[in-house]
Amino acid sequence: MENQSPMTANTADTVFVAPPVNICETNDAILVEAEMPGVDKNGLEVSIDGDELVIHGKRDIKPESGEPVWREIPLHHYRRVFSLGDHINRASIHASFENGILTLKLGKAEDVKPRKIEVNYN
Amino acid sequence: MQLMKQPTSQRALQPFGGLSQLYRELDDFFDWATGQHPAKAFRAFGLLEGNWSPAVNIYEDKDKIRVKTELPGLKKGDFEVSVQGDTLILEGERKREHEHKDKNYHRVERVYGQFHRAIALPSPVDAGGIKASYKDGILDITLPKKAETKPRQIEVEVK
Repeated sequence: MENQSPMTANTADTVFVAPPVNICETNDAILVEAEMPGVDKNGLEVSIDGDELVIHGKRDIKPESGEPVWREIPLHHYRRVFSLGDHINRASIHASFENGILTLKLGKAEDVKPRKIEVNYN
Repeated sequence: MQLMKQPTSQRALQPFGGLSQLYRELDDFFDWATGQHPAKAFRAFGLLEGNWSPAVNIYEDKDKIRVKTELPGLKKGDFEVSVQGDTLILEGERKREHEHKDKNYHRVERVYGQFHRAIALPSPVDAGGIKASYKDGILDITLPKKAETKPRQIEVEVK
């Protein structure tokens, strides 16, 4: 699975920031964790378009009361695109979201899961 | 007279063999740690050192100071907020999930370890009235200003 997006991407007049991700693999799935602080569950969208998995998080970027005196948090929404190989079972993709961390569990296709071969002894 | 024991292993016979091996291992680690994403390199150093600094925004109006900090993936007890004089201190630790130890990592861009941030507040605050909440990975702290620092209208007596 390769990341397709640079740090920021320009799509339809909107600038996005790519959330940092961890990707790890277990025997039966690939787990993706993306950091998207400031997104609530209504602003989160995970979609599959052909071979592309798109994660999109809308931040609440309404102006705060008071004058900004220091700013480090980017004002952009999050977006990152991953391409899915044939080894991902499209029907087995689960997502959960807690404390600004999106966790995706992408199930592997049956034929790429590790299989135990029974050895017959004569 | 023999001051040094003669090298015996294959690697020791190549004057720079050990060094290039070390570079290769460093490169391998770097690729692993940064996920080959050059922009994450500096964060990877933070990962090595085990300390990092969360991003903050500070807002100020006439009554209060508001500090918002990005701290995704923390739980209650992972962080502490304190005020010493005019300095706000945020510290804590983001722990790696132990259950992931046996998993094969392809990309690691998230930063773990201890964080510490001391923020000089733009004006004195009333330590007793500070409120903090944590939601969607954002720590939001509201610090009321001390009464004497609030702007005060001075009545001018015109004679």
